Amino acid sequence: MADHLLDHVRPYLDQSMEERIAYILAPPWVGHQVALQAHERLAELLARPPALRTRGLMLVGPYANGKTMIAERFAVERLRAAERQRVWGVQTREGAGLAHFYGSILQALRAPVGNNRDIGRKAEQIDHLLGSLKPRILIFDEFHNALRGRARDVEAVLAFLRRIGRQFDISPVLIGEVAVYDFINETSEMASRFELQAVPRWQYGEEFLTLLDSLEGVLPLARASDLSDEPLARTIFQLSEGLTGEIVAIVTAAAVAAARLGAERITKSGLEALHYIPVSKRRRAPLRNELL
Amino acid sequence: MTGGALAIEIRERYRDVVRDRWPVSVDPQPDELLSSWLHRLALANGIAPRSFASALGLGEGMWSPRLDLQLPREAAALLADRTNVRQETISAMAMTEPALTPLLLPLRENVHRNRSSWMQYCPLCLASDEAPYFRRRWRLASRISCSAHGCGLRDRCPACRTAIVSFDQVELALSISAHGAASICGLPQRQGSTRPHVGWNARSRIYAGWNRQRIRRQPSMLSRACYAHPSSPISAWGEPLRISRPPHAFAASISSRQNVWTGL
Repeated sequence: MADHLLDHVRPYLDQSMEERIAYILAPPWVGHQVALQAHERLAELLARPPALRTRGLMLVGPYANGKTMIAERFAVERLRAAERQRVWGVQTREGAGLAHFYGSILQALRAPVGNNRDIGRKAEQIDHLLGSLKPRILIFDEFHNALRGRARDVEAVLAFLRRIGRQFDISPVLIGEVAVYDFINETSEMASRFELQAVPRWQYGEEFLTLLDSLEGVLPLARASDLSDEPLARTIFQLSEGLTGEIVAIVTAAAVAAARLGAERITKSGLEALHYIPVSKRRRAPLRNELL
Repeated sequence: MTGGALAIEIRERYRDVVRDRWPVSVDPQPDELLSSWLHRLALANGIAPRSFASALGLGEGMWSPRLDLQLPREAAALLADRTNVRQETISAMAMTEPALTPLLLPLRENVHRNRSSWMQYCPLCLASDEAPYFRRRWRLASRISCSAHGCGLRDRCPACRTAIVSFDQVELALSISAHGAASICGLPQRQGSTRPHVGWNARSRIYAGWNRQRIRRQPSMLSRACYAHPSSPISAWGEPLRISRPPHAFAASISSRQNVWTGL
C-alpha cells in the first residue's frame, strides 16, 4: 500500500487534510538536469581564483520555469555551509535608473539606509559595504527590471556591473527572460564577460516522464496515479507547455482536488475538471467572453 | 511505482534564511559611550552619522547624545537585533542612571566659548587608540583630567573652538575632510562664518594640501593634522594652542602642558 510514495512522504497520508494540502502546496525544489548543471556552473564561479576581468553568468529562460528556484537553492545551500556569506541575492527594483538599482542592492545587503536621497551617497555606501563584505557572487533576480528606461540608464547599470567586477572581483549572475540576453549581447564588451546558462522549456521525453514520476512520489495521495502514462503525461504537457512552474502547479492543483474529493489519485478527468487554460492561450480564451 | 530519479524537496526561500542584520558590526570598546559606538557603527556601514538618525527613526540635531541619556527599550531592541551585540551591553553603554544626571555635562553644542559643551575628550587617549572612541566617563562634569595620562580634558577643537558635533557628520570618514590643511579648521577662516563645522570628532587624518579624500577603512593611527600645515612639521598632539597665532606658527614648539581653555 502506498508503494508509489517515498518513505519520508508516507507519514503524511495519516495527517489531517489541511496538513496534507499544505504539504502538497509548499513550493518545491526540482533537481532536474538543467538545475544541477546550473549549480555546477555557479559553484565554479564561486570557487574561481581572483580575476581582473568580470566574469558573470546569465540564467535566462521563459517565465515560470524555475530560474529563481535554482538561484535561491544555490544561495541557501551556500549560506548554510559557510561562515561568511559570499553569495547574495538581490531583488532588482522595478524603477528605471541607477537610484532604484542602488536601492535594491542596499536592501539586499540589509544595510541601514539614511534619509539622504543623493545617488552619490548610495554609491559610496555600496562601495564601502562591498569592500567590507567582499561577496563573490551577486545574484540579480528579475534583472530585466533594470533594463527599462533610457539607454543611458541601462548603460549606467551595465557599467556598474563591470566596475564591481573589476574593483571588488564580484561575479554578477543575471536572472531574467530573453531581454537580458539581448541587452547583454548588444555590445561585445558585455557579451564577452557573461556566459549563458539557458533554462529552456521541457520537451516531451524520457526526462519529462521521470519528472512526473518523481512528482508522484512526493505527493501524499493514497493511490498511485501513474502520471507517466501516455494520456496523462500528454495532457499535462499540453496544459503546462513545458514550463516547470506550470507543471508543478497543474499537478499539485489536481492532487489537492483529488485529496479533497477523496479520489486519492490524479486521473485525466480530474485534470480536465480543473479547467486549466495554458498560459499562452489565456489572452483570447473563450472564458473571456463570460467576463464581458 | 517508486519515485523517479529527480530530487524533489520542499524549497527554502532565501529571504527566510538570510539574516536581517546590518552588514557590518562593530564591537563596543571598554567603557565606550553609546553615541560614540553608534557613530562608529554608522560609518562602518557606509552612512554618515547624520543620516543614520533616520535609519533609527530619530530626528535631526543631537540625536545620539539624547540616546545616551535616555535609551528607549525599542531602540535598544532594534540595535540588538540588527547587530550582534547583546541588548544588555548596549544599554550599559548609555548613561541613564538617575544618580549620574546631575553630574553630566549639559547637552549643548552651540555655546559661547566660555561655557562647556556636552562632551570632553583626552587627546592622548584618542591618539593611543587603535579605533578611537569616546569614553563614558568623559561625559561627567566632575572629571577634568584624564586618569591615564594626567592631562586636562578638552571639550572643543583647539583650533577652531567648536564643540564636538560628530552626530552631525555628513562625511563618511572619521576626519576633518571638510577642511583644507592650509587653514587649520578651514571653514571659519575661509568663509568668515562661525558655523560649527561638521565632521570633526577629535580625530583627524593627515592630508596633503586641500585633498578631500574619502577614507574607506577606519584609520588606524590618530594623526595630528589638526595642527599641521602641509609644509610644517607636525606638532605633538595634546599641546595647547592659542587662536591668536597664525596657522603656520602652530607647529612651533609649545612645551607647556597648561590647558589654555580651562586655565588649569
